[in-house]
Amino acid sequence: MSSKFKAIKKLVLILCLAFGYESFGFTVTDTLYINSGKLSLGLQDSLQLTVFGSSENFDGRNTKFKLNPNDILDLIIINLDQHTHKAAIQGLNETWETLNTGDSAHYILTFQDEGIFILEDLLNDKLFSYAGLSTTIAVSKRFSKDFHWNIKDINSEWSEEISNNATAVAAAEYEPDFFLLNELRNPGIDLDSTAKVRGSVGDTLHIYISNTGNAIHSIHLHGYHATLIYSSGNQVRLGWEKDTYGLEPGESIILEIVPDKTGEYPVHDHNLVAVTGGGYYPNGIFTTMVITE
Amino acid sequence: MRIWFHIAIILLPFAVMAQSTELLIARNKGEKVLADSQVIRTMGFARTLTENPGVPGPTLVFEEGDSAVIDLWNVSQGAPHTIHLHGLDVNQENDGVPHLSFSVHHMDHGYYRFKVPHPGTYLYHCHVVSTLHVQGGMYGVLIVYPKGSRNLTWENGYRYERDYSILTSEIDPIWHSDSVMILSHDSAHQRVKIPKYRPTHFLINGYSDHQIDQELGLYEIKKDSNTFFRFSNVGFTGNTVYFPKNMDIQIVSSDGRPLPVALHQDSINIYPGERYGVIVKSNELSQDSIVIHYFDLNNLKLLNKQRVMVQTRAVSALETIDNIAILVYPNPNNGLIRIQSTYSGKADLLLYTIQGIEVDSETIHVNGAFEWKLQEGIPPGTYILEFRTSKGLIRKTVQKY
Repeated sequence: MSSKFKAIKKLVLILCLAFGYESFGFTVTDTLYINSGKLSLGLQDSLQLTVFGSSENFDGRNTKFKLNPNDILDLIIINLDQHTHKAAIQGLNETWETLNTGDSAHYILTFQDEGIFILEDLLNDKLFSYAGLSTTIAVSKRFSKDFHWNIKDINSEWSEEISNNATAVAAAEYEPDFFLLNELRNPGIDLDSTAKVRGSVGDTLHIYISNTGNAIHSIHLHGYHATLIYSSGNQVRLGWEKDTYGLEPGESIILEIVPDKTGEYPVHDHNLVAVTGGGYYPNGIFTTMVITE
Repeated sequence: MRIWFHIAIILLPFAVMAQSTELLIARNKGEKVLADSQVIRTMGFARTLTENPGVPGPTLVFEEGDSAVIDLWNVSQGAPHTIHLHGLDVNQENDGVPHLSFSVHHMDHGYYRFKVPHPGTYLYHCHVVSTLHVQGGMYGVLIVYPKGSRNLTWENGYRYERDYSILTSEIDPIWHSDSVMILSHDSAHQRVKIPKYRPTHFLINGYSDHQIDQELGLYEIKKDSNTFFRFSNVGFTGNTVYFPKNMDIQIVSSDGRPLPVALHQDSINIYPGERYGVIVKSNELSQDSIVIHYFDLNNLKLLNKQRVMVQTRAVSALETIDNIAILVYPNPNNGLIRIQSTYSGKADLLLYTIQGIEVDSETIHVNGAFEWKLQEGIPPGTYILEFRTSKGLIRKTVQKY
């Protein structure tokens, strides 16, 4: 990291302390490792995935970020995978570098507005999105209980072929057999505290949902209607109050729920094939919201 | 005397609170004839023990503010079943998710008690191994009307002449084989093997292709009046609904809530589990169709198209009669039409072109099946057959070759 950048960071921090962080934001520093390996899903299922991991050792999970508007993300991306990648966030004005095996890139990214941004590999028509390589950066100005869902669909054979050999695919024939939320599936999702919705009656809960897969997902909530307060896609839906929201590939939304009653209520994909995994019900996108007094 | 007075005081609030009860009987051995004459096994809901469980199940109707009760009676000799009240936001106990609520086993009754606070279009379906039981046919539409009105979307909302429900779904016959459906699925959210999904029949209200005209007939719109269409998708594919081009279309509600601003657009995507309310208005006499595309959610591949015929008429003279069924066959025909009806008595038969021009008519006394020989010289084409009785009328689309 250059001394010039360190000086800028210091200056920003001083200004933040003086004028409040909303004006200037904080700096979040992190390193992502592009690596590939076998993710065990339990129940004797595993998937070969490529992810933006948090360490040199493959753990099968994409690292997600949550920032405030005007925060700076000081990000290093290191490619430990055998294939070349070009990690990028579409719509962000930045020069993205192509990373051969062992290469790294350093980015200072500023996110001014609220939204959810998808970090993905742009090479070969986003081929590695079929192998799981995409994560989310949520930028939020809200002080509420928040939950983050990175939804994916994976064809296990394609994912293995791509991760191992970067083999091109016929997108028109795509048929996933695994459906994941934060690289987990039912019942494992329930153990992810960033995903598992827990709250109390009267709380304002925000669920940040991105579809980083290649299929359309239709997320249905039991128990409550949710208001759409952000969409990276069709803006006309803002303010709608619904119990089922369709998400197209690459689309992100923020849902607001204010629970009016206690209970444990499912949230699941209403393409009920996506509630399965490896050909078994109910090992797909299915979790519950737990609301207490 | 005094004690009766106290009892009456206690019971008074219950007496004035509207309570609506529906009985649904869950069955595992229904039969459904598909458009290609293939007969498949279904699961489903029926109102009586003697009727074949329909796909979809009966449409349940409630009124805003009702205290509703659904009595689910499982007479399946197989898996437990539940009712999930999709979109009604009921409490956990009545949510119909077996491992979080309760499930109803063979020969048991289960009672779902809930309030219906929002007028709108909802679904109900079994949530036991939901992927299989929904595909099996255990689903239906649930409509909540505003208090005291069947012609209003919601209080101070859109007034309409009549409403139609259009429910889309699909059938993969492999999933209806005994080897898949006969499993005694339990209610503990246990793992169940699910086949690959390869739908071959694409349904509107349970029918596809020629069955749609035959069984659902023509969707009538009264000129210069609002007609309310309730679209629901309970299948596992995406739908794009294309509305008639010469009609005024307003998408006004979704999932049982009004939209903040109505949308004027000529098509809409409806994903699994979603519902949309659409006001359709036409200021000219015409016949057109609502076309529904079914596409694969994984790769956007267009799988099928279905359509329902929509006709604008100047006057909607009589309501369609729900309790009288007629069967018109063969269809297409050569001018000799056989008609079977549950109605007996005097009836007028009228034949219209799709532009609404009368080309033939006859008055007959109906008692069971009969034949109607059309006049000579009626050219081949699509016509509307109107079966007019003292109790109301039924229209069917017929093809003459």
